Amino acid sequence: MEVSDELELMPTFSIALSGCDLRCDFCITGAESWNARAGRGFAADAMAARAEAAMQKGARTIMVLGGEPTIHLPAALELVSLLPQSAKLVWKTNAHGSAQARELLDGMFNVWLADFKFGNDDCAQRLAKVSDYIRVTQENLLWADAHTELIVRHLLMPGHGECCWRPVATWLAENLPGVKVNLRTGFWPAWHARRHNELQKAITVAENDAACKLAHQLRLNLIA
Amino acid sequence: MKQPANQSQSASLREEAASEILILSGGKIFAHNITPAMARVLSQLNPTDAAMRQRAEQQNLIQHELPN
Repeated sequence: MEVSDELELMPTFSIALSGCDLRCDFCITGAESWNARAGRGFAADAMAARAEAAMQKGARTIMVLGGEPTIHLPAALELVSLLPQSAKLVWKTNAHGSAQARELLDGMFNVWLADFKFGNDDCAQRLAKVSDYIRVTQENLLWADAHTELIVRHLLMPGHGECCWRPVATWLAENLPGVKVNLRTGFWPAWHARRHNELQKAITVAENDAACKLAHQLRLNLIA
Repeated sequence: MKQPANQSQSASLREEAASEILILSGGKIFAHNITPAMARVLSQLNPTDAAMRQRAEQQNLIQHELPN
């Protein structure tokens, strides 16, 4: 049971699946998230029973996350099929899945808690070794907004306020006005962040203030 | 095959929910995977943090921690 995510979803029973299709050097759970074989084997029926028990104990939501859960789509869908209809299900994703994946996810999760990490393809390629990031992510966010309750997350990275946060915030304001946005300012230099000069520190007060000011100027619907 | 005691203990610890905290030299505290119990600890460290207090209060909604 966790309380570290968005308050409106808490307390949540979190099910973390190891492995991810991205390679973010600043990943806070890099050891597990880069290794799809980490952890123990997943048994959908046993996990569904634990999730249901958690709901009875007070969990408001059941959250499936990674790494990136999309890479374990068959297991995730099997789990959903075993959960009661009343369960409020959250899909915590990097929003970089395929069109086929989102078709299979249609109607399965109530909430998509989706990252929009980078504001341009160069930063995405350099920091997460992923190509065509912007097009794929924006397409998925538009789909998720139309099909689910969408909450968009952006982790503010030191030195990336202008190249990443500004274009992300601007796009959200123009294309998803009113969508809930969680601007996360608690970056810490985890995993392989030290490979990048600008990522070797936390966010400064000035960076934090500038990011929040931009959010207010654009009238983003910020949540905690 | 039976695992040696220390290896078995270590595996058991890995399977438990774990929060991680980082305290910078300036006193700023970062945390992730925050359980209700950890939220209470963090809230006591900084009672002026309203968001953390709200997370700590989630403890009241939970009857008790679940077994693994």
